Amino acid sequence: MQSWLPWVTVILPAVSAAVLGSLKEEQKALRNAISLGTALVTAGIVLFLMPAVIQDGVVRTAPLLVTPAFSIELRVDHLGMMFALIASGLWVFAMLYSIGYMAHENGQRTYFTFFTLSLGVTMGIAFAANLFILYFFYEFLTLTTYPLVIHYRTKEAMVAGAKYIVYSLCGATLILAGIVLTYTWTGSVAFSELSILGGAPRLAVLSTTALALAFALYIAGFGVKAAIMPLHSWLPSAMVAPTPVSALLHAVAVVKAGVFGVLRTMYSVFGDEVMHEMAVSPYFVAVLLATILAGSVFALNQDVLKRRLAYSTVSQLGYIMLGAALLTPMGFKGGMLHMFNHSLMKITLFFCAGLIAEGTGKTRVSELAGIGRSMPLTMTAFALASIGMIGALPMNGFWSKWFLINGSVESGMSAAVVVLAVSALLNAAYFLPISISAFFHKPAGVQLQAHGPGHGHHQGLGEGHPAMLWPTLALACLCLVLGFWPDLPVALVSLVVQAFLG
Amino acid sequence: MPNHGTVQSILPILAVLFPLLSAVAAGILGERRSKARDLVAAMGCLGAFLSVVLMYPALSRGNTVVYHLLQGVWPSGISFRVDFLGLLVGAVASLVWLASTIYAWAYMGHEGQRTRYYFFNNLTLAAMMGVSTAGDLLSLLLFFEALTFASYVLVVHREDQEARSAGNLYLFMGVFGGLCLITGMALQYYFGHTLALDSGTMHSLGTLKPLVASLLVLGFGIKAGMVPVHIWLPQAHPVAPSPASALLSGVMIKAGAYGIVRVGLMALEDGHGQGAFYEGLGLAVITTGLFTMIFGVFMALQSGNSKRMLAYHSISQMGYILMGAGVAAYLGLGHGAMGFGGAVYHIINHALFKAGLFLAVGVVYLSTEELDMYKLGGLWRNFPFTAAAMLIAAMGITGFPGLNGYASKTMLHHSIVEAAQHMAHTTGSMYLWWGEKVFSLTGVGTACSFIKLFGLTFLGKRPERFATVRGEPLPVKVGMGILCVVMLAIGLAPNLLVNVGLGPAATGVGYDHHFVDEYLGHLDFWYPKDVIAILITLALGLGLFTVGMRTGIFHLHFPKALSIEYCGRALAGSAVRGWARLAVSWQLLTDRATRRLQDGITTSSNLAKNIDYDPQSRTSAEFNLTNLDFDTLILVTVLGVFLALYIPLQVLSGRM
Repeated sequence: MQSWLPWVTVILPAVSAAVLGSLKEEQKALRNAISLGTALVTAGIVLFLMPAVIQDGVVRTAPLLVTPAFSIELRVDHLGMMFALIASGLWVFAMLYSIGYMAHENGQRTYFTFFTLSLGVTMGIAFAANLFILYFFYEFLTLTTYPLVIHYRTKEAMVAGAKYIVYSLCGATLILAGIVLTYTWTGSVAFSELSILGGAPRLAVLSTTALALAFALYIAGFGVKAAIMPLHSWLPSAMVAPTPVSALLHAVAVVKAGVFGVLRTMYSVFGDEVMHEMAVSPYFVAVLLATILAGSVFALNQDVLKRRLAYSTVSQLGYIMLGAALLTPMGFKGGMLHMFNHSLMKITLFFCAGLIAEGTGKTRVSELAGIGRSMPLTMTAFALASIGMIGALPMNGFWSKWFLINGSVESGMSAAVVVLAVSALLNAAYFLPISISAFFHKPAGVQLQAHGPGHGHHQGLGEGHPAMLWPTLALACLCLVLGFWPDLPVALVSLVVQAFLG
Repeated sequence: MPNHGTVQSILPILAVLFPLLSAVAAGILGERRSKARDLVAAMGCLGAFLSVVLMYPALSRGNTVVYHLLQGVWPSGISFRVDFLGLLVGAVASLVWLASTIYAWAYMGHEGQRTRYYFFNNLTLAAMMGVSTAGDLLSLLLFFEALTFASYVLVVHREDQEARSAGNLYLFMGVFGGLCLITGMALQYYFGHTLALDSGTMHSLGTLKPLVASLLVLGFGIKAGMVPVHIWLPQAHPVAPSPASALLSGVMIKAGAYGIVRVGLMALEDGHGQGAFYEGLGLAVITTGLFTMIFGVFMALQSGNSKRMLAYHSISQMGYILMGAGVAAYLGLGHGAMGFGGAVYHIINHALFKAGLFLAVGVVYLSTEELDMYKLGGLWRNFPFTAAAMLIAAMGITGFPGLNGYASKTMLHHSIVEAAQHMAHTTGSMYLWWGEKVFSLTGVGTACSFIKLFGLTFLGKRPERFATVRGEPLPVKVGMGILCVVMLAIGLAPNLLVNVGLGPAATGVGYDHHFVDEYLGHLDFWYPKDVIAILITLALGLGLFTVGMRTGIFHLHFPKALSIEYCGRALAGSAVRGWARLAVSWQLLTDRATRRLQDGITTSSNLAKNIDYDPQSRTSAEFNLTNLDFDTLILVTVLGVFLALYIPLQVLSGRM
């Protein structure tokens, strides 16, 4: 099916960003309305496109500027749909949360401008029709999110920002090299039902070693944003950003863009047949298993809550790519499902961290004793999401783990089963003590003025701003509901798997 | 036998929904309407009990009650399937819960956070009802995990250091058990293609069967207090408030036992339980059970803290149940019925008397604030009702003829004797003959231990300071009274439950019904030899008590270094230290590498900065690139990028 709607999801946020940028710093209400409206409309369009994609398998725009090498066009397939759905849906929640969070911060104009612009860029990544478009938006995402990372302009923030830029741009260069190789070998960079290297006729002299090298280039490139160890180090540093940025970009949009790139590499560029032919996936799986374990171990030692969450993200992104790298339907399903579930759970956890920091000024795990008494709703949401991260049953996280373990068994990688189990235990070891101390420990030294002045609204028990609290609770409930009723995400994920693995 | 049909009914869901909704209602009512809240909490338990009991007519006609919910991704939906086994466990669980909740009306007045207590009390019951009514492994796991998390809050209710460290151990071992279960189930699902709780579903697993069976047994065994993964139990059960201890120790560990019984049935070979693997599994479970039973009673004898002593007895009694389940597997679908029946019977009886004992001890603690039995005495004058209740429960647990424990212990004794005979007959080994001796020895220890508890608490000289402590309030009496009535009823008519419940349960899961009818149906509990045997055991127990009190052997303790907790802590300590060292060094390594990379890149970007000629700057001087023309720099960069891309391209596409 042909439709111009995908362009709207990219251009509308860009136009809104231009408008937001030209507003005055004081025009708060208008700015909030435009940002939220843009996020809502974008999510609405993605939802509107969904039935067509499910029915036809693919929706594309009319190609512009057709050259022999590539054309400027967008193409929505199941994988892109899935990513766009997650990103645009959670963008609405994050935008709402941002309005609450940023209410008393400086530099709102810059913040909302780039936050909105990043939405369009992310949609561009999701809907890219060929490798060059993907590359273009991928590079652009680094640039549009950079101002958000350095929002506070402290020395720490600037260093983190520099690190982010350097890591990302170096990665992108490797991707470019990979794309050039792909183009030289096949004369095509466009995504289609068949993979680029598997479908098109390619140079006969090409050995599997050469292919594997190109694969390594792609993985090392996308692996920066996907935080594969040892390329992960920018992610914990980037936690100096405001919490909504950490929540959305460093748990959902940016890191998942990296993961999305890795999935595209494996299934759209190489394809499962070529992947089998190259026989690189065991090595890749080994790296991912190391990432999963090491990420969890690092998380154990972190006292700053957001850094602990960041290392947990490193580990959990490994789950997603592990699922895909197993190259079996069950495993891929588990990985894709985890992309969905991890986004929901991790954004909830970050939102809670933000609520705590905004309400009480506490950012360290060791300071959280007894906080469940003053913020019971926030900490309940946190506890629910942490149980989900462990993969225990009433929560949605169980289902990803269930399919991942089944997939590991299916592909005969018993090491993966063991690592998944050990990592779940480590997850319990670094998440549960937070909830435990929040609810069952007495606060260390009763403070007369528990809530310092100028820290937002404190009604009732001392929960945060409603615009921050309600999105958090809604997402936590969604995690619980999807634990009991995982049919919808699993159905969507099955379509993706069917499209790539038959 | 009647046919095995199925009946669709929402009763199993009601059994879960009643406690669940009453938990929410109790939470909403809160401290302001505390009377209504207390009543609603108890009504939820009653509702669950009635829902379970109402399934009896359908079951007695030979049907199983099933219901499916949310079919789709869940391999078989959230499915409920109640047979006699589930019915019995569910009924006794909700009954004990009702008694404990009524008891809590009075008891919890002395603890804080009552609304939270009732909320999680009923939430835990909802999970427990789900465990007993679940129709497939995954639904079972759902409720089993919920049970772990909900009951955790009951364990840490006091929120002091002791409660928290016990709670941590409980929670992390619970999570670990859950992981074992998930892994086992995933293997079962992938290779066995089914998660149904039917007999013999592990048949198609082949060589993986031992692995899957042991993963599942380990997962359930943690909750069941199986040695050596019992270590959380003696810490977690005593620290909870008494009504919660009664539930934890009386009912919740049965979720694990129930799981193990189910796994035993799933592992049946070819549907009739012959074969080396099945015998081996049975023997392994028997051995674990025997160890668990003797270890528990040994530790209990050394405990002066009455709640800790009861917790160790829970371990010991779970050993009986494990042994019964093991015999059921070892002897297969024919003669194993005695072991199966004994195990299930003991699940029911232990729930009743262990809950009764915890409640009775709780009453004493409530008024005296004292848990050390050596500091109590002569309290029957203050608490006549409690003394009577504890006497009934203690006689139950020691297996006194005429009380409920006697019936199940007799059946279990029959089963181990039979297993010993079978083993001697087929292999000539005396191993299980010794097992029977361990069984009897445990009986002696149990008798001694409860004579000690009752004697030291209620008889003898009353310390002065307890002369004026007040008696027991009404709800406490009602709670204990319910349990005592049921215990006495079972004790006086032991055959009734066998005929209406255990027999059908055994045939329902596949046992040979001729054998069940002949053997279980006409079991004579008053056979003189059995009665005399148990009386001898009790006499020996009394003797041991007298000797023990004279010589003071009850105050001897194991060297600390031998305990699993100590070894575990030492091992875990060094493991954590090593792990941390490893993690830190790895982090240093990667950090150093990334910092170098970053330094390199910063340096080169500094070079790029110098394109706007600043001869005075130090960096320019250092790198001495100020002489370079801007255009030259661009040219060099472009050339570099071109070469970097072109050379590998040539190499890869041309030569390789």
